[in-house]
Amino acid sequence: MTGTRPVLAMVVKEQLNHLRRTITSPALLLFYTLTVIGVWAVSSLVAVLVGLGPALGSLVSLFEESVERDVVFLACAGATATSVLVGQSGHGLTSLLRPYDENTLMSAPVTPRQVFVAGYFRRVTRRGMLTVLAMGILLPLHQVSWTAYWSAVTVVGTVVLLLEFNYLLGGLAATLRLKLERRSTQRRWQRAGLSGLLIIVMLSGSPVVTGMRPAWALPYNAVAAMVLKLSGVLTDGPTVIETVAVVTLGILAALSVLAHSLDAGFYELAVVGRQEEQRGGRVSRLLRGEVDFTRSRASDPVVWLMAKDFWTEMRRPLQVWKYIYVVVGTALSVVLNTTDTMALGRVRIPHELEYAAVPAMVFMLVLVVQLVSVGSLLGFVDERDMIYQLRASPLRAVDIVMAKYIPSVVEATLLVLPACGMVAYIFPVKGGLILLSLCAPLVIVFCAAGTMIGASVPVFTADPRTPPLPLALALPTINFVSAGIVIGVLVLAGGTVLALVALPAVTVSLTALFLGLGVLSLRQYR
Amino acid sequence: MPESTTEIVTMMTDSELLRLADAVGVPMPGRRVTREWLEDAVLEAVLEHGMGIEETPQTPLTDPAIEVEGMSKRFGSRVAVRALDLRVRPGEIVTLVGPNGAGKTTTMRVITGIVRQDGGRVVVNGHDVLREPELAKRVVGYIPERPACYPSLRVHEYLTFVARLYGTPRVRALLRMSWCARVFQLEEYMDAFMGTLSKGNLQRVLVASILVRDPPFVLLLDEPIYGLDPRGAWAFKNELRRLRDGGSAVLLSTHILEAAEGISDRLVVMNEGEVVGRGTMDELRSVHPGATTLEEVFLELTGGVPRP
Ligand SMILES: Nc1ncnc2c1ncn2[C@@H]1O[C@H](COP(=O)(O)OP(=O)(O)OP(=O)(O)O)[C@@H](O)[C@H]1O
Ligand SMILES: [Mg+2]
Repeated sequence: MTGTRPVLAMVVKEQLNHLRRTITSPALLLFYTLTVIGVWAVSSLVAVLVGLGPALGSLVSLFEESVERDVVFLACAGATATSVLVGQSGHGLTSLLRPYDENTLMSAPVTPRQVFVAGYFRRVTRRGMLTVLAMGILLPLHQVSWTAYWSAVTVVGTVVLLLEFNYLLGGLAATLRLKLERRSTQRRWQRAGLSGLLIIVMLSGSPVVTGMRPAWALPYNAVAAMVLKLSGVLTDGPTVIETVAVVTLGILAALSVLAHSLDAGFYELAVVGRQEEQRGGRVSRLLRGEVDFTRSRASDPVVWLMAKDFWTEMRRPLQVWKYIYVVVGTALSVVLNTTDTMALGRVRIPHELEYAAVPAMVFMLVLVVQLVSVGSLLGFVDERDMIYQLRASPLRAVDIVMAKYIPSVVEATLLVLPACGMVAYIFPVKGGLILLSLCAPLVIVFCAAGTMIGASVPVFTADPRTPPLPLALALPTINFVSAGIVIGVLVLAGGTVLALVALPAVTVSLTALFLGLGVLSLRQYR
Repeated sequence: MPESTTEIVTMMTDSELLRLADAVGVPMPGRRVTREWLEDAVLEAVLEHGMGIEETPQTPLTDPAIEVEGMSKRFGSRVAVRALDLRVRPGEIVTLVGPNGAGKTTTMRVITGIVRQDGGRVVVNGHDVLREPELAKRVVGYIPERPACYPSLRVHEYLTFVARLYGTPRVRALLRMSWCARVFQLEEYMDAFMGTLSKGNLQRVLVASILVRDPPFVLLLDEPIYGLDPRGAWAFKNELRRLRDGGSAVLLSTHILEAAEGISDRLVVMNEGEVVGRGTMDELRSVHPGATTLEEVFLELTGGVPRP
């Protein structure tokens, strides 16, 4: 039997080479530098804003005061439960393996445990580097105060650790499911086991249980308690060291159980995937994307391309939940905004602070639109190697770009609706509705930026499957700058009629610029 | 290896020789040593350590090397392989042929222990693949249908890593690496990142990654010839014959019937997960007297010869 050392040594070597290749490739280096500078600038700007306006600072603390203790606990437990639910399908676990592990590690005299350790190490180094980068980028916050910086770093750090714990728990759920499936237990039992696990997690995060301190030994509760202590809600929460210790112990426990429970089923899942029974009525088949979209009567190839994207997208697990979220979320925010209950979560803004709420709300909106428009980046990445085939087809580059762009705008618009409702509810600012209409230009511009970056991935790398990290990181920078331009124009134009002309003009020009660049890079594929 | 340790050392490039000198611990007296001196010193050290190619310990495979009994594999409701019986003895090249989707890749994956069979028994070199996977895999050399590799490793790094993975002594691995680089025309790629290799060169590297280990092997090669240029294919086939004569067992799949005809001792024809014909070329021909070429035998067995 081979030891784990050579396997780990190989992964280390691979990571180092990867890093070296990135650093020595001018295009990638340029993007890295630009991105880091951009994010640093944004971070400094935020710091200056927070520092200049004590009003904004007090708004933040106001926000913290209105945070409910039970909500934070439930949210953390909910995050863990969601990871279990998502992880049991095994997609998270098998993402540790690469196609090339099939001929090197899976067929070698090493155990599945060693292969897992190698893959997990690869994951941890990447995550670790990203986290360190994020912490560095937060550095300008120290201009406000070192305490602020350290609490930001602490929160980022522990949340990253908690996410790792959640990931491992999801992996455990997947191996458990594999074992149950092999015993050919009925699906009923598998479902019961899963629901049981979820209920236990949610119960342990419920107010009754989190009132008792021993419950804080659970990683998600520990993180919730620490966050609450930092924001002053709890007086006797765990210290940072204690929290990190608890979560790390949780990670180590989950890691060792997971590593020991893995067998060759792990390989099979990665190489051939899970074999689902194809059953169900028409509606559930529709929701799972099992639709013969080739029977569409559309004759336009662009419409075809969009139909193909839509239905293949629907075939992904959990895709349906996105749309359920849109419907339920929108309904909920309509109800919340129309029935004027002052329930939990709403910020009560004192009269003298109202002016500060506007920038805060705009910032929130930019962040939200940023999040929902990330999908536009994936339109091209999802094509993988097929992108070359698409490029070689008689479709015009413009058509391909539009076929990716339009659906991403539609999806981002859908996703932004509930989020906007929630933002409007949380910040009851006068004229808030007008501010919300800002989302429209932002969605249009951000999706164009995402499409541009997606289209340029194969220009930078011969492997369109894995977009270089800096390219993906460039998106937020570009977005923040564009948002700055849009908002700047709006502010300059003031409340005059000019704004009615200037806003569409700037939106259209930015969009045209990004899409045009996208078309250009599509023409430049190697 | 057809060449002796001495021949390999004399034909090594300078950087290879230096690497080997380092591995066998030849002290470097000064900055200026002559090539001849270094070759002599390295050779002496190699032979002193008993690390020459000729001194590879001989542990023969059990007979049969691959034994598959009543193996079945389903994917959902689709049967990929049905009650397959297959035996490959050491010193034998058996070729799986069959139309697309016949179950060849699935069979290979089950034998390597990557995919778990639903029923039946698979034994490799005397070890049950389900019960003692690591022991069975010690001798396995597998090239999958779609070769892929760590894009950020250099070729020589990858080969070194594989040798370590299988516990091959470093010195012997370096000697074989140098030999493989020459035979498969990989010299100029030894320092290249594997992500930049062409398909055929990647395949050569994967072949080399098996050959750096100590033989004998149980080779499972899924369409290994596809993607190699004529010279590469020729070198590869020669190498297979040599390995077979050295006691390795080879199971390969291919769609190139002439290649199958040229190197196989036996053929197994699969169709829709079942074996529809097996035997040597002559045996297959005698069962189907109307068919003259392997192509026609193949068509007869798998759905009939289409009449225009
Ligand atoms: N991951 C999978 N999910 C579902 N069915 C699969 C999967 N992999 C293989 N199959 C099915 O199993 C059968 C055998 O496939 P296999 O890949 O073994 O064929 P093959 O003989 O290697 O074909 P080819 O010559 O095209 O490589 C096929 O019917 C295929 O559709
Ligand atoms: Mg195949």
